[in-house]
Amino acid sequence: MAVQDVNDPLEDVKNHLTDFRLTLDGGTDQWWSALLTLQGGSAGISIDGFIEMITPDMAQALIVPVVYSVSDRAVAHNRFFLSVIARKSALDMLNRADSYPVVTNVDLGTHVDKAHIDFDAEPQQSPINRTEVAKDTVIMAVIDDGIAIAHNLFRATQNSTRIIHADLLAVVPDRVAGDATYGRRMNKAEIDRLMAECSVDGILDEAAFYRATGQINYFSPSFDPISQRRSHGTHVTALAAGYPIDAAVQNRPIICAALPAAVTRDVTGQSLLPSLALALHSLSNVAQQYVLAGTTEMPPVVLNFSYGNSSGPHDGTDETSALLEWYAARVPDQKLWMTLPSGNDNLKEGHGVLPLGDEDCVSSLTMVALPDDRTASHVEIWVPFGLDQDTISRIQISVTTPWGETCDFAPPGACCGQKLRDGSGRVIGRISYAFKPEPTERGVFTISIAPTYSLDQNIQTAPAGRWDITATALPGAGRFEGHLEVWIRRDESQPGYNPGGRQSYFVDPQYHRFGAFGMPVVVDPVPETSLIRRAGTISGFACGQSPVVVASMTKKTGEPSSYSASGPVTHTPNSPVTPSRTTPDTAAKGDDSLVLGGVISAGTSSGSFVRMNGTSVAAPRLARFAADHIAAADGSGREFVFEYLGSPDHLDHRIGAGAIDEIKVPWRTS
Amino acid sequence: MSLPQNGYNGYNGYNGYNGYNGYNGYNGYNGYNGYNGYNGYGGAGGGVPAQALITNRDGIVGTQLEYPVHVTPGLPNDTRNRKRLTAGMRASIFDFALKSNLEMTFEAGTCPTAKLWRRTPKSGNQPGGDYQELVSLTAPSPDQLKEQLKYLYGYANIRQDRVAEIASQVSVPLPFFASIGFLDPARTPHTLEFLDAALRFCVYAEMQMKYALAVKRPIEMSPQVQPMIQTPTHGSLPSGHSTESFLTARLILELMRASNAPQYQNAGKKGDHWGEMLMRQAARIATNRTVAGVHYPVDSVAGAILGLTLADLVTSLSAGDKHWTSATFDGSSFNAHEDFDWHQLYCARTNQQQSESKHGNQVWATATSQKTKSKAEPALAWLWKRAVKEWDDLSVGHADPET
Repeated sequence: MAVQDVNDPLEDVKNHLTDFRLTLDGGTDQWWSALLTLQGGSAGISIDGFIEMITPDMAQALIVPVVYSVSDRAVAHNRFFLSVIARKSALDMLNRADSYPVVTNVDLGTHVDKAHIDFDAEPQQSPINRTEVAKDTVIMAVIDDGIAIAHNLFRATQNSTRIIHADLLAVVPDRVAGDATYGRRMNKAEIDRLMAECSVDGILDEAAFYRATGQINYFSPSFDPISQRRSHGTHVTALAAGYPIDAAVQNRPIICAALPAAVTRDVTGQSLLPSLALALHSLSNVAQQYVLAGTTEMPPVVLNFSYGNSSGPHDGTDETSALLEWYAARVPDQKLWMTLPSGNDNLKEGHGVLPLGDEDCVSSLTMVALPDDRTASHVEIWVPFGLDQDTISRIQISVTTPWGETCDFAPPGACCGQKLRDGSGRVIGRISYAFKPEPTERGVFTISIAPTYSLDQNIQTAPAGRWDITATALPGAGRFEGHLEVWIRRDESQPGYNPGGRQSYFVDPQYHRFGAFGMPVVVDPVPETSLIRRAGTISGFACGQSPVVVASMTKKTGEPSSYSASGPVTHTPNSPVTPSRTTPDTAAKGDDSLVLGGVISAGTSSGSFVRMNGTSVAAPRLARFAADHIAAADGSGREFVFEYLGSPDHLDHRIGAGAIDEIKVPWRTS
Repeated sequence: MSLPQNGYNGYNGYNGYNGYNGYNGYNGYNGYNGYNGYNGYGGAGGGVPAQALITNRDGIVGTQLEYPVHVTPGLPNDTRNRKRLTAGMRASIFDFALKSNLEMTFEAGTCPTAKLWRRTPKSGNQPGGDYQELVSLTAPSPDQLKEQLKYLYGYANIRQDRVAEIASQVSVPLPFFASIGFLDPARTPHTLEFLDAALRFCVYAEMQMKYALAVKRPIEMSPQVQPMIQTPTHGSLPSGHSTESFLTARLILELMRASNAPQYQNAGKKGDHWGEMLMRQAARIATNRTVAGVHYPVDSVAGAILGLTLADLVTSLSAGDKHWTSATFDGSSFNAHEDFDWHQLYCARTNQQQSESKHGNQVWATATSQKTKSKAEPALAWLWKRAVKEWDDLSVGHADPET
């Protein structure tokens, strides 16, 4: 029985994923974070201009956070990203294809708890006076979740932190300060004062401190990352910028932003992009407030963002990459290097290709949706660059459910989609197509599948099992060059944590997971007989121009860690060119050995150390190294790394120009 | 045919030791089964079959002689006897010395109140005495507990992180205190005996308060608490783990400070890290019970007040300290939105309970320093002195007081 209903088209919207998620959630009172792409033509568009544009009704349902200062709001840009907090009604309206043409895209973020919003916060003028810091200062910026800001490795003395600024999203705001719309902003003086208040007889009561900052709130059912002995952001921040107190380090002040933990009950699939945009804007503004002693120069900044995802075109033109580039270039007088992990998806079986070739060519990938997956699963199928709409409309994507029902979809227009229904007519997902305009200029099919299990009777579930995704070149298409690139979006939740997402993956008898002696096969065999690929698993936003992208090495074996995601990135004429990226740039230690996986860095509580692995821990190690060189280097971070590694002609798909394995941290690590 | 071995069943008197087993609630102490080293005392038979002793006696006893001769009276009611008693025997003596100090009264209501009173014995040989209020606990209302239930959901998020601790702390978690204070059966046998006596006394008092207040457990309030360990059958408030942990922490601190070891002394403005760390330990153990899903935070609050107060009484009775504390906890005035924070109840540096704990102007706990004219209980003083010596410093410049 076909699940396709040709009379069941979707509304014309700018972003189908956003529309799907808002439809699936259904809560009208829920506040969301969202990232708007604003495009103002030749005259440009400013935040003030956008605010003037919105209707009074929408003004009640949309907040522009005060992290955008009065002066930020006045500046017009040709194209920029605005992070907002808004209700479903506003987002639905902005996402409609026929409304607010100045808004070209609406990326939905996460639920925002009303208790974490200060509706009365007012935007402020940017500070005029700059604060002097030591001449050899490099500001270490970290954006992560769960950063234990009182950790001793971030302190200069027992009572004085080196964190000069912290944005804590998803905590109750300081309504007296009124300086943040979402969460709380703390400067060094506030952190020091609170540490003093929470110290008894010289010992900091860290539980009391984090209760006071709002980072731990057991009265709320939400999960607080730093309530655990191991927290991602603390570990990462220490690798980038942690020093023992007695090292008396003065020249590595830290600015950081703790993103909301991706562990809320939102079952629609989450994106931290809007929160990232808020964090970048805030830290960018903060970093400009400092000046090197006796000069007018602003200190250089090294920013680490140990996140990754598997979605996007992987050609450097995605929104996150564009966002990072926008902030990399925002302050020309302040040198900024970024480090990003290459990702951990090498062996996740979440990436594949669908060759098209001649007419009637058919190729398939089979995806397993696991039972008890409490979140929606999304698959992106990217069309090669340069195909016109007529050609694309002859690409048919068919989805066959585990029950054998098939929906065929060939996109009739530049933005369209249809619902997937089960045999009883219930909506269990959707398939959509959108042409991503400049700078991407590629089409993308998105298959969204409802959770396979829910405790909420109002949420329609999709069947678990094998979903076949088939691409067919319909008659009249001629010969296609290249192939469709397919990525399953990451949505795994750790066991026991909300929202209970379980990662879907591809299966194929031709995909060999293990080779000789049972070791995992970490590079695609040649010739590869399976359509599932390890190559191209690099994080979707680690394909941009500026960031130094870091893979993970296992110290003892001298080999890339098996999980460390691989290039190459996809190249299109619109991809960044200077220098062009094909692979991760370099690698740093992510594992001590095959037996001792991970590396040791700060646990959540002062005085504790824990082990974590992943490219997430390799990137901040590189950031630490970069901080020692940024002041003297002339070029970009990537240029420095290539030069440091001897500018090899050949870039390895897994570790780029090579590994930098001599980066030490000031504590015993093995 | 074998001779009846039962004739030697008198040895089973040693089974009185098994009376100790009544305190298996303290199985945590099994980590300290060094006490079993005392089984050496059980060795009059030394594991020799009674049959052997019978035939042995038959072989050597001969005709009855004119014994005994030169017998003098024993030492009545004298602590010098104690060192010849097994730990189990002594335990009964200490129990009597402690438990005979208490009496309880009860006031019914939506928020019932249970009070423990301290008996100050009259002088002379007549029984009876005056009673002073030792500690008063008033239960919170069901509505307050309903609000506190939110903490059960929040804390449940960290069960994975705490499971090893929680499972290890189901019994009395003395090893966790031994990771701070240097407790070991070989090094500190009297300290362990002292703590054991104090904990039996503590359970005696706390169970009576729990029974009287009959506060329902979280599992009775919601089907979604789903504790990760079995909920004990006794009432929720005060938390037994909180009571016992704070009592243990304060008594170890008292012993440390009563010793001559400089590192244990109050460092004044430089802070008292031993006390702070011991109390952190107690608080973590208490909080872990909320994580596990068997206690509200307010149970830990009441337990900490009870434990700290009982510890002060035990110290007074043992060390002859004239000071003791009278405390109250009014659960009906406790802000149900608040979590457990022991700093509101006690200052480790001064070793004093806070005179008032309040939310805004609402006082929900008090502590008053009291003076007694009573001397130390001789049995407890005997144990206390030996326990204190175990904490004395043995280093250059600090001679062992016993040598």
